[in-house]
Amino acid sequence: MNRQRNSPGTGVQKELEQRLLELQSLFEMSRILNSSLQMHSILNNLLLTLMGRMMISRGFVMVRQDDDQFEVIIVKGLSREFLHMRLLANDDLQRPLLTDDIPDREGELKSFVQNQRIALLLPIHNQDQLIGLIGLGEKIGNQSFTNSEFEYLASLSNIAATAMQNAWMYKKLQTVNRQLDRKIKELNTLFAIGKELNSTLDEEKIIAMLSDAVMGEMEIYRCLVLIKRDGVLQMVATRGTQIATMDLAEPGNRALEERLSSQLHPLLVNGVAPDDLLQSLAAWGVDLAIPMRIQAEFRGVLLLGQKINRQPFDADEIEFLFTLANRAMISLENARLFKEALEKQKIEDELLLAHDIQQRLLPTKSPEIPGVQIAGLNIPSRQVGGDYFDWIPLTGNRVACVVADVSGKGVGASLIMAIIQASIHSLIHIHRHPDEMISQINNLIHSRTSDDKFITLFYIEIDPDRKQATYVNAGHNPPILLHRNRTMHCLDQGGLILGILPGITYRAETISLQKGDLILMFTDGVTEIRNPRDEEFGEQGVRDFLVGNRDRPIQEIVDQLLKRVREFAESEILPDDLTVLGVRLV
Amino acid sequence: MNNFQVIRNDDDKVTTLRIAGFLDAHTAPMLEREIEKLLEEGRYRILVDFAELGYISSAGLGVFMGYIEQVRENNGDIKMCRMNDKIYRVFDLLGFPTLYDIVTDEEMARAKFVQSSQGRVDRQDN
Repeated sequence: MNRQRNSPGTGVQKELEQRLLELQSLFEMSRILNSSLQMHSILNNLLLTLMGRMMISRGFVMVRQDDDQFEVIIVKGLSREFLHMRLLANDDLQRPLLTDDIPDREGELKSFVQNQRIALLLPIHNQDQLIGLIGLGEKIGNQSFTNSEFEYLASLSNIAATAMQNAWMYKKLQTVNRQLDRKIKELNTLFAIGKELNSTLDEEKIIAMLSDAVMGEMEIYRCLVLIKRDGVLQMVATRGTQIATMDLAEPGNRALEERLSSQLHPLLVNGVAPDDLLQSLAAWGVDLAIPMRIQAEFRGVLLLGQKINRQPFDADEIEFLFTLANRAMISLENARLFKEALEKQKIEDELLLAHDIQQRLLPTKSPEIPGVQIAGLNIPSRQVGGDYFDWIPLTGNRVACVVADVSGKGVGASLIMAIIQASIHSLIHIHRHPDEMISQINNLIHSRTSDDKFITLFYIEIDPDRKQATYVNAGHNPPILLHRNRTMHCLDQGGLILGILPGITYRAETISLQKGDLILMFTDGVTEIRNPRDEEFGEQGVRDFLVGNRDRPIQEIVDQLLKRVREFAESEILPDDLTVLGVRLV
Repeated sequence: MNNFQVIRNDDDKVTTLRIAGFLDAHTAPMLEREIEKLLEEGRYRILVDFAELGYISSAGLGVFMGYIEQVRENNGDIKMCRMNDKIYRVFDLLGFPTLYDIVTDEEMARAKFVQSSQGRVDRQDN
């Protein structure tokens, strides 16, 4: 065996074998460099191979960092204290360099290399940028590097550059992939929470979901939810200890509310110069304040304590929490709007019911009384209005007609209208004289309603047999009496509007009628209607209408007046209640 | 996947590392870690037994270069024994025998640790 070793063959054979070994190692090197994507393992292998091939006992590898400094990441045969040492080097260090040939401007690098007895520096470039440096100690026996070795080193540096670049890309890709994975996880979480949030309109549940999600996903110790209700920031949920002692009702905390109200973005309590407010937040154990908004309007804030792992919140986490909190805020807003809509619906239902009752108080079918034609209509501006009309057959072919207008609208007005209706129906058969009845109704209304409620009312009893009528006008728009001979007469006698003063006496007027005479009663919904040019329809409007329509049947007169009013207003929807009641002697 | 193994064996003076399989770029770091551990423990007399080693690459050779100075500065040495012909040829071609004691059997190598404490000795069979 020894003999074998002592006879290495002819010089040619040895050279061949050396050549073979060199090729083998180059092959292995490029295979390794291209198969590994770990920067450290690539460079470790490169250095080991160089040291093994050239019998060098010292070496190091430096790699360019993000801040453009070069950091020692591998040392062999040198003290480990040099690991992670950083220094600067210029991009124009080209080709393998003997230590003596390093330019003097690379002072720091040159003195390190000389002190550590490094004989040669192998720069690694990617395009024009220096990305790494390999230092090699002298060869055993201090032999000088041959030209072919220089060439070998130069080509190795090229292969290494590509491998390093690949490793870099791979590392970057891994980072991006990790970030993507995290984003996907966050999105999935948001999606899942969003689905849950959508499944409820219960505020308490939404707030519980938010604080559960925050504490669960981020592993946060403490969580506090403040929501603005009726203009005041109120604490609606507290989780965890310590933070719960915070009391925003204290006057001192008003300032905190103001500060948080103007906060547009999440506020890292430790991330800004401390002021008193931040200090008190910090004292409560708050690390992060996340404002919640609907459109631009501040609606609440999420206060969070430290994470369980005590790591600071990073930008992605803050963004996630910001999205989550504002997503929950939208659900809270939806819940509020839903509640509001429910309440509105409830009111509307009640109004509809009131409307129903009111409509039943109004007469539907004209009475069949010989010698008289009657037609009336009522269009309430809202579901329930304050207008009232009625006709009540009396003894001896007589008939009583009423038109009234209660101040205000809505349920209150319709209730008063109901009182009037009930009063007239019960008193009409007791009193002989309309003026006495109206006076009694005035007293009744006055005692039952507040002072700001008043009623204008027109009451008339028509006797077609005797061709006369008696009326009382309590402050109502004077109805128009249109005689057959085309003269017009205002029915304006009576007295003060009802409900203002008690004990007033009213004066009834009796008028003579002829066959064909027409009485048109209406409320101010007719006369006070305005067109888009702000002109009033007025009583003149009614008179003008009557002149052109006097010969129509009574129902048509009533319907046509409504049509005329709508044409005048240029709108189907009228701002006020409108009532028209027409009577004609035939 | 790792077809390389190091088995360590300490006696009061010398640590023997029996290496087996393929020592290449992938496996070199294993041997580096093993040697670093020895240096941390202050064991500088290291005998490497190559009997079971099937292949060594340049990177594998580099491992021995990286520690030799420190070992010798601490009056120790890395000695090698029981290489097969193919592996010895690699060491030989690169000139390692000028730097390392490479001998045929373990006892011979142990004996050299005694001698080397009195001064550098060249390979016995040179």
